[in-house]
Amino acid sequence: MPDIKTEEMLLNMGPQHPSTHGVFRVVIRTDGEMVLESESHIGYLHRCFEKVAENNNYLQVVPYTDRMDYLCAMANNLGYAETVEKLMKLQVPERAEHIRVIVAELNRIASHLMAFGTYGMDLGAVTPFLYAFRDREMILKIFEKLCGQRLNYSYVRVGGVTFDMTDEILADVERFCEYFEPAILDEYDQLLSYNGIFISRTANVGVLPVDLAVNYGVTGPSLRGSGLKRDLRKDEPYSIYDRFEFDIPVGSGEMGTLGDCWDRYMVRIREMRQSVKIVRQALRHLPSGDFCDKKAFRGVKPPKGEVYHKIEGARGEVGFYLVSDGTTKPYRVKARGPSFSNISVLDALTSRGDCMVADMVAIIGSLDIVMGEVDR
Amino acid sequence: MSFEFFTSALLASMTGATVEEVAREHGTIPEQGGIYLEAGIRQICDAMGVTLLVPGWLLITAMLLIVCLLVFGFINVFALFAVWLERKVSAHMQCRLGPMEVGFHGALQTIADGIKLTAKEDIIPRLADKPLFILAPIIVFAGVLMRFVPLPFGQRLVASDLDLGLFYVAAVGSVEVIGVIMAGWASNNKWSLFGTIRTATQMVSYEVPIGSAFVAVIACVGSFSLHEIVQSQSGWFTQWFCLRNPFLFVLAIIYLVASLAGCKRAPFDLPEAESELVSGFHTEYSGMRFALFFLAEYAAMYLVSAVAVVIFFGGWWSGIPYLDEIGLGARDSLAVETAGLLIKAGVLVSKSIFLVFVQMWVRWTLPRVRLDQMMHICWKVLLPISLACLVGSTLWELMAGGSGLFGLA
Amino acid sequence: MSISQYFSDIFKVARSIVIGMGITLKYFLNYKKNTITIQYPRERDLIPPRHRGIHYLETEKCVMCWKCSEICPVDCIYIEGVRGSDGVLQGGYRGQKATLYKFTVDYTVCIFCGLCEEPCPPKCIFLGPQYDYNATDRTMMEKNLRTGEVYTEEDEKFVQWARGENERLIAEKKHGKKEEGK
Repeated sequence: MPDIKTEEMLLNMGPQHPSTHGVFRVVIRTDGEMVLESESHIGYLHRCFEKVAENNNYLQVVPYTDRMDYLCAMANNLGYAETVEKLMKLQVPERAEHIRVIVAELNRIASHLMAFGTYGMDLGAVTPFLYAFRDREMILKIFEKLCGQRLNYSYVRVGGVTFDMTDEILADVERFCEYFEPAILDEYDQLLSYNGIFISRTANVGVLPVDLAVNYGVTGPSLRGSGLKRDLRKDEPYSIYDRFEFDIPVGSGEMGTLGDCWDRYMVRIREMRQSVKIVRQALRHLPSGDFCDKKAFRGVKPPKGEVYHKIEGARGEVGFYLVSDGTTKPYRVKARGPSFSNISVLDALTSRGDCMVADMVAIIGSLDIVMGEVDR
Repeated sequence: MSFEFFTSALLASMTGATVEEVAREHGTIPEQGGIYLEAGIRQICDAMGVTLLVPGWLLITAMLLIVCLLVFGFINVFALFAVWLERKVSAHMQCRLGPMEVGFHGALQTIADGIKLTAKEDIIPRLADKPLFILAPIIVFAGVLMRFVPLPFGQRLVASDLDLGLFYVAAVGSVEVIGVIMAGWASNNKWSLFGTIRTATQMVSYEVPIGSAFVAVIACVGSFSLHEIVQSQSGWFTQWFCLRNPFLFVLAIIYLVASLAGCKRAPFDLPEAESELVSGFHTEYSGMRFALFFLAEYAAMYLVSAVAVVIFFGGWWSGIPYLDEIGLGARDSLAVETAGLLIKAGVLVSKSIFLVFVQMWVRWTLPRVRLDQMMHICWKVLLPISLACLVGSTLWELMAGGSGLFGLA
Repeated sequence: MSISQYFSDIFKVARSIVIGMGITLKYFLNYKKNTITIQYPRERDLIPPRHRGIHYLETEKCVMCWKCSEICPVDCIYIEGVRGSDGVLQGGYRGQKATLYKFTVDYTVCIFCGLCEEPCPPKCIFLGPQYDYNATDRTMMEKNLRTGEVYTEEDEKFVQWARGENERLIAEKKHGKKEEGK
């Protein structure tokens, strides 16, 4: 019926919205339910991390790095600590390295659980959210015993870690691994991953071709969902990751097209299994010894120079570029948040003309962004 | 706000009154079934020798208003219970406990919420269409309330046993759609409008498979009256229509799925999709107006479950002839008869509540479908299958005929 | 799409839905065993020893080195006082090595990072187990660690008096020494 004229509608999925993950504004031009064009606006959570870092010394910057990607704080701490250690050429004790790996992988599991839970909730399934939080609670209790906080740890610092891991905490971690895999992950698969309605909401939706992803600088599970096997833990190993055996799950177009939302979601679920594997290996090989370099803890004064170091956070490549002028305060710290690049691909994905308003929610959820990282 | 309750109740009762008056003129009211308060009162007045000067239609309206308020009271009590049940069911499925503070295990929580809602500020957006904004909840609630007129609550416990019972339920349900469209339009909010447009398509589309299920059942009975439909399912539970032939079994499942969509419940809750549209068409409503929408939703849930029980799952017959015979004997005393009536009412209401529980169970397990998938399910899955089952069921009745499990008895 | 694929699609979706519903029914029927929530505030969880909550200070040990105040990334610790036994005020404000007039933490700013615990030489500032600190006004969010109460206006008046008093007494001492030196 070519004579029906429909008007376009300009919708504002505003900064306050139940399913944009954080304060994020998208202006959508729609024709009925089909999205013609979308434009994202960020900056609502900008907290001047990089400027603040110029005025605080190297130890005081650590709590600020926590708050960038607040769901995977250990990875941010780790990235910053390793950057400064790279500049200083500082060697961290073995026990500290193992503890760092255990803690980073546990945090990755917690972050992916959060992504899984909120993704189900965005699409209408409220119950998996509660189950994910029940399991995440166990990890957060472990972290509370370990360092005293549940979300912003400031645990991994330049020279090692702040507190030692006692036997009680190690037993807790072991118990968590026993409980989590395989029973719980199988339950998530049955409840949400292979649910017919969930598959029809996420398969063939938001297909991200590999070349588009590489052009926009997408990293992490979003890139691996499109089929490219790139993970910094295997390609450019940092810390002691080259000693552990684990797989890199990659999307395969099992339920639809390669690179759709289901693939990205499934990569995260499979990564949780691999993280449990890494934690078990690290627990077995945990040596005794120092948990920190005491001299470094008292104060750090790196030599003049600049360095860029990157690690694999839960959402992608977390990078820190550090310029030091020899004093106790860094001259310039630049943080690369992976969600910033991941979110930039949203406009390209939705402007192709095959996306509905309900799909926008699915795509934003599958990219797993944290606005603290986007805006820093 | 009580003005709005009164208005909806009045609307509903006047419609029922008009239908009954028209049916009376055409002489199509059956002799048995239903409470005929009017006939009863006229009998009592004749026996006492008092002549009533009140014209017929006024008496009928008054009687029906009383019955309507009784039904309305039942809906309120049920909504209180249903909100508590939903919160408890969802909590237990999610590893938590739900309301525990107010009353034993939170039984009085809904009353506390109701009091809170009445005390809230009544906000009407400045640019909203005020008459439509105020009228919308009334129409939605009246639409749901009107559907309760021919619904039996037990044997001979029905507000008005219309001859066109099932047809009336299906037809009058469309009034709700108008109310929802008015609510979304009058809110002056693009997101509400989104919810409204989705609602209009959804509710109207899913009436077609429901209609097919109704027609198949009516073909087995030969009458639209809900009372008659239940009466023909007496006996062992194999007499229930869902077990009568395999096509009706499939139709029962199709009816349950389509009725979920008609109630705007998950997985079909696009109109009130909480994570996309904040609250859909009732985003801008606060306080008692929102409570009216809420009440209407739970009333619709009960209604749809009760209709399913009545036409497919045996109504008030419990399926065990011993229990069903209580109170039906010719020489039973009033006490036994009342006991029988109460048992039957209890059976009907508990079956409906079980189906309401199943609706809640489905809601808290499944994600939401998208708009085009919802239309796909309706027009490409439910409708062809229901039409095929309709044809199959009528053929079966013609050929196998009679009653019994799959025509074997 | 062929007939068999049509029906197998419907069957697959229906089967996955039924499996999912089975899981929630399992949780529903065993709810007593599966419940993980507690009825706060009647029941509370155990707080581990390293928990980082509201600060508490052992005032007699404090040596007024200001290290905790310097290391704080957000500058929320305010300390005023006199070092050494020059502490001229009597009665409860004098510690072993120093006299504190003011030691407050502003909880509208504090990020509970725990950095203030480590540099303290006598190890007298700790982050404790209290996590529920509430106030009805923003002015009530500054806690006076000397007394353990909210930092009020009277405390501010005392601090200003103490500053003035201290300066006066120091000037007197200098004057006295000068006179002696003469």
